[in-house]
Amino acid sequence: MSIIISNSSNIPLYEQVKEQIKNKILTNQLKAGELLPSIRSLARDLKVSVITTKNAYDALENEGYIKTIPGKGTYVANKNIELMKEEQLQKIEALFDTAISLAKISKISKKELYEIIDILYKED
Amino acid sequence: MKVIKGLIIKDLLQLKSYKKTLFIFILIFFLSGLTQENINTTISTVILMITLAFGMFGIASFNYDEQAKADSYILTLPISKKDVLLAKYLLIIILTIIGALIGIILSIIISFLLIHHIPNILTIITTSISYIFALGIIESLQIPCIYKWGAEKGRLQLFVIVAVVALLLGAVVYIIKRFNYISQIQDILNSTVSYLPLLLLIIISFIYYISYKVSLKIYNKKEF
Amino acid sequence: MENILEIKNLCKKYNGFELKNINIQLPKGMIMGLIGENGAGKTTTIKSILNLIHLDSGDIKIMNQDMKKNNKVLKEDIGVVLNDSFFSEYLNALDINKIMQNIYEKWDEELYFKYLNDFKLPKKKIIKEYSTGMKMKLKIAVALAHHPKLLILDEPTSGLDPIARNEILDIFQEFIQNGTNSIFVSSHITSDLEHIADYITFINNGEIIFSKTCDELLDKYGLVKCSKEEFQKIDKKDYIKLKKSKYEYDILVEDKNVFQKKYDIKVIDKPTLEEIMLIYIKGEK
Repeated sequence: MSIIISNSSNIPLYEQVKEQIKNKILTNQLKAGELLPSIRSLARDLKVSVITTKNAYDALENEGYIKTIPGKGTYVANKNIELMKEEQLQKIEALFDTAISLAKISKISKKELYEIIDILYKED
Repeated sequence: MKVIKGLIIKDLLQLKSYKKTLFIFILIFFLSGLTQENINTTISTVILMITLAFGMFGIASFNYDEQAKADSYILTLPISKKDVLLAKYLLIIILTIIGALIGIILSIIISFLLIHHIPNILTIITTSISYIFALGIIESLQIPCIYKWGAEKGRLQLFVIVAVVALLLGAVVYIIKRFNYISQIQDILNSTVSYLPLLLLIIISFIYYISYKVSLKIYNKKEF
Repeated sequence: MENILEIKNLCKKYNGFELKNINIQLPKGMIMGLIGENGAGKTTTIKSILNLIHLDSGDIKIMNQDMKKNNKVLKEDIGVVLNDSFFSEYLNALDINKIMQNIYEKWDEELYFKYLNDFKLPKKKIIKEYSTGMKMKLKIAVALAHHPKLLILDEPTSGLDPIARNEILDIFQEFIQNGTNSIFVSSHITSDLEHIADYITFINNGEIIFSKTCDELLDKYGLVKCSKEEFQKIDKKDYIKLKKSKYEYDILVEDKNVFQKKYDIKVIDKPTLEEIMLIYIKGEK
């Protein structure tokens, strides 16, 4: 499992860890029921503080991606991937909603919106 | 106690580079002892020099500690300030006694080689105990000075203190001579000569104890 | 969470220097970095914890026990590295084993030799012939070999090259793997602590400026870069301190998101610990 941490990024460290683990769950690189490293060993391997990995795991657990069984360890939750993707889609829809209403106010066409998406995708 | 043993081991290991020097020193005194004419002076000198060498060997451990600022570190270990001082006093007393014992053994060997019989053992023991006594007084003055001013800086202060003590002793001797107490003193010495060594040992133990108490007071006040 | 180390209202006055009412709490299982420039009071704080100096006032508790009253017992559970003080350099690693066997009840000879091997430290060479990095690693090996629960280290990385520093940080992270071991470490090289410390306590001029989680500092604090004109619009209470230079003003703010909502200023960076420290010390209000 590779997790890449950038210290110069403006995204908080814990969020970087969280998003990358989430991505691995959504793309099925981490499978349901799989054991995750402990917060301490992950902190050691990533060279970040224990609080950073703890915050990342807490956030992932709140969103239902992982599950901690006290005394045993942290596992990828037995959640339906389709369902998780559905949730992500809903979030994306909501964000597009805001974008579209902004576009409508400032009279930006659908075509221009598509172009923005194209540009942003390429930049990635 | 175990930690005191640990501290004494530390000092002895620190001094290991000195061991060779000490050995050569002993050898030189042994050999030069063999060339002397007067057996009594020889015995006396050999015992004095070797006891002194061992006493100074112990005092040298302060220099190693000071160089490494070891005291701060040692006090972060489960060791009390009392332990540190007890270990130092024990080390120096033990080394002084070992020095005297080696001196006695060597002077017996020397006598054997030179005059083919053992001289009066009681005289030898009395001689060595009086040197332990004399050296003990110097050490008892020196150790608190080292704790107060440091091993390097404490030398001048020690010199002043030794000078003052010497002056006081001189004054006592002067008074004794001036008022013709010599015969009385001699009477006292003659009547106590058989237990003089024991008396000296008791007095020097007491002096060491006072010195330890003074050092402890200084050491407790110190910050590291 | 349970605290392994608690410093309460510590005061100590010297000629020309003063520790003013120091309060620090280190939760169990965590690493706390004590940062500050040379002479800020880091070493004095560490020496106070260890009973090496007499406090004017204040309480030190380790594992909920008073440090002064339980000095010897508590020191069994602490491993200490001081920057400028150790055994004589004429000793070697084997000598130290012989000494320590008599000093720590829980001295673990096997573990000690394992560390010596791991750190590639020659056993018979006298310490004097070691490099600076090796000396530090030896001190750390000695501090770890009696299974301490708390490590207290004064400037363990100063004078070391980046590789040796990195190795030492690895040792620290390994040490806290069991979840209950904790570390209190001072350093003026803040980048070392930025990564691995859970808490950062910043001391300046004998006073604690802040004691926060490292994440909060790095994620919330912002370094605003703006022009003089833009700066004049900013309310005094909305920033901590600023540093003026010829072309720009660097302003340290406590919460970059709150700041961004209030002011229309484009460049807000994530500050490094060093930048935070620098502006606190050199900046003006």
